[in-house]
Amino acid sequence: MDELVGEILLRLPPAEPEHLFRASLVCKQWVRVLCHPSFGRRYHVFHGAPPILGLLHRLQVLQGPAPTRFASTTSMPDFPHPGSDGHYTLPLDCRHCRVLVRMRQPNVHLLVWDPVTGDKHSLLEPRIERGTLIGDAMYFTIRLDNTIIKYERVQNCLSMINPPSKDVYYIALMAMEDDSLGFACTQGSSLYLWSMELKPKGAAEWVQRRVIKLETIIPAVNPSYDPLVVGSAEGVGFIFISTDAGLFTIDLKSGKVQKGRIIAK
Amino acid sequence: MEVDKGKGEAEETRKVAEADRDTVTLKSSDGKLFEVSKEAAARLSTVLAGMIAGGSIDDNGTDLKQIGSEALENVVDYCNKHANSIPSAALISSSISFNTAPFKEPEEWERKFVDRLSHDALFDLVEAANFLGMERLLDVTCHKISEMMKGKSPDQIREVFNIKNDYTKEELEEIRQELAWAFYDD
Repeated sequence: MDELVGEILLRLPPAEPEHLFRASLVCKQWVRVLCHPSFGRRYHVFHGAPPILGLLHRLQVLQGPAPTRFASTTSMPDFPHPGSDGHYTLPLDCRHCRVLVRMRQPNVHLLVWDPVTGDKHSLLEPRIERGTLIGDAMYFTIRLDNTIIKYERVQNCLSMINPPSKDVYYIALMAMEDDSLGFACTQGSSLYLWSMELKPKGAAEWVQRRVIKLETIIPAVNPSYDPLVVGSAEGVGFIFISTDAGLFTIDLKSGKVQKGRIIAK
Repeated sequence: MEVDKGKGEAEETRKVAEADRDTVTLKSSDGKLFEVSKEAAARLSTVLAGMIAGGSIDDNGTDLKQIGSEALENVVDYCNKHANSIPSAALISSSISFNTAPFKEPEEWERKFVDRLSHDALFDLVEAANFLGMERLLDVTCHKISEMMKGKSPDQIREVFNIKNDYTKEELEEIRQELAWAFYDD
């Protein structure tokens, strides 16, 4: 009979998920059958497309704010967003059976939640900085540790690149002359320039191109105020540096420094 | 469907007769003989189809030692009823591999067929269908058993399946709290 348990449980209807839950409490062998990946695959094939389990409201224009609940469309009752505890939560998106929920809690900004298994992964929200486009790839940095996210438009593919330096706060991504990815950062009063060089077999590594001592080329009113890199101009090889004396551009090719318009940061 | 085989027949006559016959004789674990249409047996059971094609059918009654007479009688009954009903397109197609096709609801006569079975007979029939590779009968019987589970508490399900609870109280309580909504008051 043991091998037939799966055959029987397979036929419990997906629109009434409580039967599967109750079956999982019968004995440990049954829960093993139910939790085995092959059961999930067969269940999917057997019953066709998965049923709609419910609805996550984002906005209810006329009725006022949406309740922070998962509105069930099956026999399962509604249940609150995980961890909401009455706090404000906002479902952002739902893909591949996972829900991305924005949380308003000091140590959890985002929650990736699997409503079927109840699995939860909390994340600090990455602060995405301005990106740089090189060829068909867009590069962004994440504030937390300067990790670079590469998005390849044609392949619709995301990948991660470790930055040359994780413990600097002021950085800018830029396209180098040879269309490689450039990484500029300021530390102390120096500007460090790195570029990503491709090695054979698709590997890549950061190479430090230049170190520019900014105090020798850019004036500062108060010497204890470190200059900060605040951005780069796409395609022209300019880097923007902010000091307490204002905003400056450095032309990396000629090394010429120009005082730009003073823009409040 | 039980038949009495004549005992005085000459071996030769029987062999010739067997080749021409459009039925096969099956023997249950307790030695009872049942006759079933060769065509229906080959169409509904992958195991019997293989035995017929491979010539391993015994005219004295092919031994099915794993199947008791009550279950075998039901198997034969199902085959005969099936032969008399208009088979639907999905059942004729033999290219559908085991349980990969989306489930097709039991037909009315199939529902009636399993509804009249006792609890034990139904469970024996599931095992027989599984042993004989009878995909559709397995489908119908498993569907019936899964329907019997609906609305039952884990305790009641254990009773139906004669299963011993191997969870500790603490383990059960933990899962129940997590899934409180899924349980009726029991």
